[in-house]
Amino acid sequence: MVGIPPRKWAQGKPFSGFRSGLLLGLGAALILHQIGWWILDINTLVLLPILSGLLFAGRAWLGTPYR
Amino acid sequence: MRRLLVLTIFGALLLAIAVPAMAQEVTGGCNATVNGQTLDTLDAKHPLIIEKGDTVALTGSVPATASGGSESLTKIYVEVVGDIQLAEEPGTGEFWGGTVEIPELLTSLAPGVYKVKGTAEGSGWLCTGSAYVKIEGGPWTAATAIGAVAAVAGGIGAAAAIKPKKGQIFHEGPSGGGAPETPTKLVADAAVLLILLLLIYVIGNLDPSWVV
Repeated sequence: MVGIPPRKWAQGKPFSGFRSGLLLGLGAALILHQIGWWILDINTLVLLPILSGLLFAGRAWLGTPYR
Repeated sequence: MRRLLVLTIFGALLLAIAVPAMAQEVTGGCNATVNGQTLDTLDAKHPLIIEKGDTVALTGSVPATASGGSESLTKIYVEVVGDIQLAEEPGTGEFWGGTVEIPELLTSLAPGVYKVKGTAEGSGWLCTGSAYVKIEGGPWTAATAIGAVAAVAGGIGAAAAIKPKKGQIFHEGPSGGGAPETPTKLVADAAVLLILLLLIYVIGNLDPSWVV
């Protein structure tokens, strides 16, 4: 009997994901400041990019699913 | 599945650090105004609108318990990743205050909403207050352009980082070669974007004083 093959995740590049997430977070912080969503402070200019970097590092670590 | 679970727990932890935003107020028993408006009305959603080159005048009265004629010292800051002191003005009598101009660097490169803080202290009393000001600058600014370039570059880089490292080829399928499972990948991508949007929402409502 041929069953469904197991899912395998091919890991991406977490450090590259972190750098890209950092850049994305900084860009989002500036754009959202310019449209009046928030002010520029330690949360938006430091905390958000770092958390965004960690988030995308996590996504890259998760990688791509294959079956 | 285990990796998805780890990512979900990570997202939940990010949200768990959120604390409610603190209200604007003047502390220390003083009354204070910015350009004639009381501070409690000038929150982030209803900032004081100023044009480039306009000044911000913070004035207030000393607490009723302070002795008349006493000396005071007013300091005014703008908050951008920490407090940048703009002015320090001494005063005497029952009123304190100071007038500042927002730095050219901010008004030219990144106009928008900023938090202006003030402290006034005298013999036996200390008052603090803050208000939001919006520097008018239009939607197309240097900061918008820099932000857009950074966001697009970051997005492209993040998408590229998800792709497998070279040499990772799976041969688990019945046909001898694995294929990307698009629906699962889309679910993972959507979860990450959802967490990012939640982060933006939560961080937009955080008071920076919980960090510094």
